[in-house]
Amino acid sequence: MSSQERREFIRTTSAKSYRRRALSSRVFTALLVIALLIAFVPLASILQNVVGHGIRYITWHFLTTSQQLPSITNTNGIGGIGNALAGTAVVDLIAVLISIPTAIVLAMAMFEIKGRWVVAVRTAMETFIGLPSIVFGVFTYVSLVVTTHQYHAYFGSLALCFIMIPVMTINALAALQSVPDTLIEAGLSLGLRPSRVMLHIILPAARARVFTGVFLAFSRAVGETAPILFVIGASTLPGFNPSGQATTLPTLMWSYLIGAYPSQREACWGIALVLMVTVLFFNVLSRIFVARTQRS
Amino acid sequence: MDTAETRDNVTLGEGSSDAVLSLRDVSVLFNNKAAVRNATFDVQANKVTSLIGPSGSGKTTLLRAMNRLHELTPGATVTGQILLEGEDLYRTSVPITVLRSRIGMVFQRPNPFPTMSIYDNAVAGLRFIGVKDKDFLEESAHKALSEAALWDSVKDRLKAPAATLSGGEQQRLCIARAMAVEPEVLLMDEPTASLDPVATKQIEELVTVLKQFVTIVIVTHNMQQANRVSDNCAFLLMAEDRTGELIEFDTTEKIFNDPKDSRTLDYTLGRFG
Amino acid sequence: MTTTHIDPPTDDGALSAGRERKLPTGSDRAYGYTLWTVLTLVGVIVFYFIYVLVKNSIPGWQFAGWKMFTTTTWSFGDNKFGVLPLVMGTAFTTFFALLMAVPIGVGAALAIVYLIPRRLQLAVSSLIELLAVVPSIVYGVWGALVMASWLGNSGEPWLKRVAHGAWPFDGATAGYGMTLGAIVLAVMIMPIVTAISRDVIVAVPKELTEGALSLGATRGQVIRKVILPSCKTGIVGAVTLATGRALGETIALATVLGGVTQMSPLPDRAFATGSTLAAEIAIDFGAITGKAGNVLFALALILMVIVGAVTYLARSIIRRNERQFQ
Repeated sequence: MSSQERREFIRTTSAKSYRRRALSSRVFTALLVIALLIAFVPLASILQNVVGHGIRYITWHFLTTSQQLPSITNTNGIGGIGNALAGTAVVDLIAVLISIPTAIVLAMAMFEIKGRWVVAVRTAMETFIGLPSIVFGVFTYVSLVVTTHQYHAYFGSLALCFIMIPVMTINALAALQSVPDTLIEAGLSLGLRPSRVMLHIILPAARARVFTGVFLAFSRAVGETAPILFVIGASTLPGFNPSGQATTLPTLMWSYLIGAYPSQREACWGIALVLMVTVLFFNVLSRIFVARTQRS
Repeated sequence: MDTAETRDNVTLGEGSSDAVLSLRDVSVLFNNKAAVRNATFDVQANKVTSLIGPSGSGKTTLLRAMNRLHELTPGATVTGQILLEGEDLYRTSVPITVLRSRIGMVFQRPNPFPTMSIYDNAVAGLRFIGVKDKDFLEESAHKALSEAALWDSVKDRLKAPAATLSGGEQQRLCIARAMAVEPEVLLMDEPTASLDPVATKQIEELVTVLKQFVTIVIVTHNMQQANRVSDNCAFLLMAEDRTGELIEFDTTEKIFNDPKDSRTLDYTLGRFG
Repeated sequence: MTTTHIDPPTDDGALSAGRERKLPTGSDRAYGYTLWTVLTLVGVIVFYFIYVLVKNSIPGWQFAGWKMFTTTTWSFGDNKFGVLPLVMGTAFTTFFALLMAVPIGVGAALAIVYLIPRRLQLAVSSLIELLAVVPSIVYGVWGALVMASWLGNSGEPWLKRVAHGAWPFDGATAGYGMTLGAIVLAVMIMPIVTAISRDVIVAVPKELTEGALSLGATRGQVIRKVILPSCKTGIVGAVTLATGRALGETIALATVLGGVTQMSPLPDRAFATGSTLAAEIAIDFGAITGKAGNVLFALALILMVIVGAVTYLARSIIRRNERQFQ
């Protein structure tokens, strides 16, 4: 075949196949758009239900009074979520107070120290991020509740540490590693000790990304049910005592969801709205920190 | 062609019958801000035309307008006419995908498809446009790889991933890939920018051989390269308002030895840019 | 930036990057000790965690015996521990969730990167990734209170009618069951698939797109023949990570699967009720007593090993893929 014939053949094939190619391209892109639209359906449904059903629960009374058990004579008497808010605050606050320093120091250790031990711990942390949270609940139950025969709010905090510390640590480590070498070498060349370099140069430079991980981990932990369900007991009184029993927003939702009264199931939406707003608040915070690091 | 006339016209080759690609008053705009303004010249058949000029002069933008690849950038528009064998690229009823297969392109960095074999890369364009005949594909691969001076070194490993080739070989594979669809024009955007001197020399030699099969437009930073490989040369420069302008278009010999514009002389002598 | 994606630290730490620092030295000793203490403490807790789960599983294994894996009756109260229904329930819900979530998730990611105006991309992907931050319990409520009645009243009867009652769309429709579980899981893992796929797709060099377009490829061809093959490893990583999530999901599924029945314990049709390993642990934990409780620890251990292995695999695939384009 001569060059001219080849060219002719290619041009005719190209022209002939064009309609089919254009059509299949259009069908394919249409399918992608449909996939995108379908992806929004569940989000819309969840938001519509959480906000639609939940908004009427958002009253001062609901947020501040404690839960009540409905009775045959008062099937709608579910009270409020004051005790669950208090319980959530106690359990999560203690968890954060333990997790943040532990995770940051752990990340620092992984940054400074080399060896198999560090690799092992890091691998464990990365794997923990993906583990089903129920196994941490099972572990906390058997190692704390079974041995002490008691339920405490702070047991829940310890269980949540297993959710938070891995996420915070891996993020903080990535943050420390993203600090430019030149900055660190400048510090070292001034004769600063390693601890000074870490505390005065590396950590401040990595701060925003470290906090991203902190808020990300927290927004995940706030909504966790499985790890704390078996270890914090339940409390219908609004108390802030870490060694008392506690009910949190997710565990209250769980007990209402499997509860006997329709009014309890309906109230799940109200709690869900409060929970979603809390989770979103911290998630948005983490995004703001991400945006900040990307700008700098 | 009458040289005396072209001298007066500046726009060498205008109206001549052997122009494959003709630019008429072409401006490329991004969000209504011009990147290149009012370029007019002809790309002659089976010649190498080089676009030279300092960075920011719009060489690459102009080149990408020649197969409408600049349209990938949001807000890009073109005014004026770009005629491929008399057919206006921007007003024709022929779909752009059909047109693009008539205008090949080679990029700054070699970009073979990393998941495809050497053979599949060579015939990728033919497969895109719907060629299924196995014999024809094999023949095309042989022909294109030979034209790109790659056949002898890859004929025993056609099924190997394209990524196993060296940088220079990858770039020649990209040339073969473009040549396989038998384009009328081959656009080259600084094809040696990421290559070592040896590979650069091989590509340059290839360009001077390839022009017997295809008309070539090449953007280059390197004036020696333009001098070595091109027959005609367009010199672009960024004006005060940061818009690229065509300063001069002529034979390469004229541009480098006897330019009409003093700025062309300054640039080719390395006084700026 | 995504909510589900955690930046993996590079393999070589700071010390191997040419900055040899001896620790601890002189007055910096306290710093070194602190680091070592926390590192050791966390390491010890990790080992203790594994030790406790293994130790408490052993009586469970002995109690339930190997017939766990051959019998099909799971009745916790009656000390009958056939886990086959749970294993199959886990596999079915995960498989069908992936079947729904992967094409939609990857398709949505491609649409976001290639079909949406650039200034809208971040907003659209953030919205989808919002699904990743919704707590499990909220999915449980949505599944049990919204989707269950919709499926029971409209979805499942419609499927049954379209299939003319042929298997697997036969038998009673309740709303609760395997189909609902798979849908809830699909919604939960879809944002993971989308977020990671999007990162992978964005990382494909634009030179490849331009190269294909300049050869005369249509947009569909560019995506199918060039982009998708280049993203294969990364997308496989995303799917593996999503699989790990789906296998271990507990609370969202605990109220939507309907429970294992004695009559037909295995989930052998689309509308069958059943349970999964993780969900069953949560459901039965309240009734935990004596040796029976140890069987649940054994289940938790199985689950942990499977999910841990899947997640580890996913992370190494994703990491390898990130290196590919560097």
